[in-house]
Amino acid sequence: MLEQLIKIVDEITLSEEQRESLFLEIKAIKKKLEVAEFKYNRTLHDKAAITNVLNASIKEIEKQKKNIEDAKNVIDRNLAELDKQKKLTEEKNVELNEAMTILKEAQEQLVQSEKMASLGQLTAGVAHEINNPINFVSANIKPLKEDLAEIMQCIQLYEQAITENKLETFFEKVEEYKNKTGISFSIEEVKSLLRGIEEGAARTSEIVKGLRNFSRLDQNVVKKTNLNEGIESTLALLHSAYKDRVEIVKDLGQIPEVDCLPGQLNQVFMNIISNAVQAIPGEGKIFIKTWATDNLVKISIKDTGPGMSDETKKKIFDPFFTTKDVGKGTGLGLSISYGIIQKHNGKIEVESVKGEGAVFIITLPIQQIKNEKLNTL
Amino acid sequence: MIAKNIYGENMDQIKSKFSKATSDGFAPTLAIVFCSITQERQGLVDFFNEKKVDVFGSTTAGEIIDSEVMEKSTVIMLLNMNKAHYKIFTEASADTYKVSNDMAIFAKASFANPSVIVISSGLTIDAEQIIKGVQDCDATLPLYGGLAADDLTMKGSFVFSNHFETSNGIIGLILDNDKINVKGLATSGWDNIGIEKVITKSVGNVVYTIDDEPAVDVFVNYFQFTESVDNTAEIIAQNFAQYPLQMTKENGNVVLRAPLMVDIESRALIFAGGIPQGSKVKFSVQPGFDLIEKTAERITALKTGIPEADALIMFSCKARHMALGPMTGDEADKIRGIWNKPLIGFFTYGEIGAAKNCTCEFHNETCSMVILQEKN
Repeated sequence: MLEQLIKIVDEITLSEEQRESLFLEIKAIKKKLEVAEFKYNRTLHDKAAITNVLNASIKEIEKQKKNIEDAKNVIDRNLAELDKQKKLTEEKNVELNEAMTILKEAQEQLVQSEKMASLGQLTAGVAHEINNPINFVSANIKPLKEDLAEIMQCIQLYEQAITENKLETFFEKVEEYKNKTGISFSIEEVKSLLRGIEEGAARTSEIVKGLRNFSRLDQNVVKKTNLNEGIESTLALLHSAYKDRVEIVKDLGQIPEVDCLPGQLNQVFMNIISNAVQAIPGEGKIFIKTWATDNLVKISIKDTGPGMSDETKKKIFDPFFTTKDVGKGTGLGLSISYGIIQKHNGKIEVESVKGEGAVFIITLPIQQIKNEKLNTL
Repeated sequence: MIAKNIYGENMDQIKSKFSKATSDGFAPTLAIVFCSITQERQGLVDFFNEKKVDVFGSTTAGEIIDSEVMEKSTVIMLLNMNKAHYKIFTEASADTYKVSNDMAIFAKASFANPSVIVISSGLTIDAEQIIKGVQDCDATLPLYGGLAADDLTMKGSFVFSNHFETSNGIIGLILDNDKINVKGLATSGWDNIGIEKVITKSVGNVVYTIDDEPAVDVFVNYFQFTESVDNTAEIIAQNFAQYPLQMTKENGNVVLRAPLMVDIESRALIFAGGIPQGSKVKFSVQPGFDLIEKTAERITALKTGIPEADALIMFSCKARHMALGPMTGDEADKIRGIWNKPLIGFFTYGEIGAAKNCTCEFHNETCSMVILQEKN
């Protein structure tokens, strides 16, 4: 159409200036038409493109929304499952707590059994120990009675003589009686019997003192304690087990008193020393040494027994581990001892080579400060 | 400095217009030549060699001269710039980073205070390496320019000078800032649209997948393009290039990335600039028809720094030509009218420049303006 318009203008009679002006206007109009057409087409194109992009974006958003909802459902299911697991776990916890309580009770019973076993051993030791001196006393009583009866008879004869005032006849009768009963011998025998009774009584007193010292009824109170005394009292109680067979070599140093539960530490000494005695077949020696270093006290108990293998050493403090025959040991002694030493913030170690005996070394702090297990400040 | 523009569709026209331009004693030292790949480049270069005029040339996807937009022609800006105030750097290499770094080193060795206008040829280069190569030498070196084009045939673009031509290299016009006032600005106008997407696989400027879908398929699906994209560069450029990806870089700059080519086998898109894997992008759409006013408004702000000019150079993205259509000349006219001085430019496959309050970046869908004024 524009070409036709230009052709028409060409044919019209116009001045050059007018023609030029007209052509410029036509050109301007042509451009405006082109621009308008371009804008229209581009707007349509853009509208389609924008619509498509937005639709695709909406689809994408819906897809993501669905993914989120699916994920949320999965999360909800997982949460429900977690709740269920949590409830099961709580139930299990209750069961475990109950089982723990039962286990603790059983443990306490076992410990109590061990104590009873120790006590049994202790009692046997004590009974055996007391038996001898008591025997001195009881064995000496009958002959003492007889001797005293003879002596009393003699005295009665003297009194009768005095009463009847027949001294010469009486002295003859007394002399006859003395010769007949061997009264001089009886008097000597009385002295000997009294000595035996005295010894028996003293021995019994010593044993009772040792026993009292050993048991220390105030065992739940931390006290400053002379550990050498504890060792001595333990040895006293175990005397029957080792006498005439195992020589005890003591090197008890000048050690300060130690903050501890004395009864429990005595239990430890009892366990280790009695194990040492039992480990030595036939004759042997046990070396006991105590010494102080820095803020610590150390006790070593060494025996000349057969020693132990590396494997045994690793398990020696494990509960229920024992090298003794069935029925001969609970396997709890050293385990309990280990616990007692730990409670005192101490250390118990064993060194041993098979065939060369064993050494138990106990290390204890002299002071117990802020020990929650012993409840010290 | 005096700048005069001439143009033609063949050597005879150019020679004739050159004669006319120099008939008043005007003795140009430098010719900025932008021409279609259909034009006779060697003839042009021989002519200017004969006239002892330095050539800074590039092929195009359309030419701009003053207010006119042309195609399949040659536009030339003749400048009588003092030869001591500029140098031309040329280097051919597929290693874009290296040649750019060499150019920056050359610029700093040439002048104490240089500016660089660079044009790069090569259809599959990662143009970000040009920026990196220069900035690794000197991050404060002012850099402007664009990518040579080839009328959307996607067969090969060229940069050329008096004794140099390459389809894979750069040409740099190094200017002495102490003698030539150089100012520039890059401005776009595209707006993002739709939801954010993630570049899930890319290497340099090749994008393989977007949100784990083949890149080509994403574009086709999103825009519902019905034409086959198989090896049809023009379709790619005409459709995809108008809807570039908007990406926010690590340094906070927002850039546009337009796909130039398709790798049919892998359904990947080759962009003019790098898009790192993991980048978050959005599609963008062409600006409204008020783009021209907005562009002119932004460029006018440059006048504060350079109130007078001798010459204006415009590197305008081909996509802008397609977005503005017959109004493209109006944009050039409006910008030219700010300083009322000769303007030359071409439609590129990518632009280099700094947007407002941003550092120098490689762009697409952008108009990168360079204003020159020789100081007395």
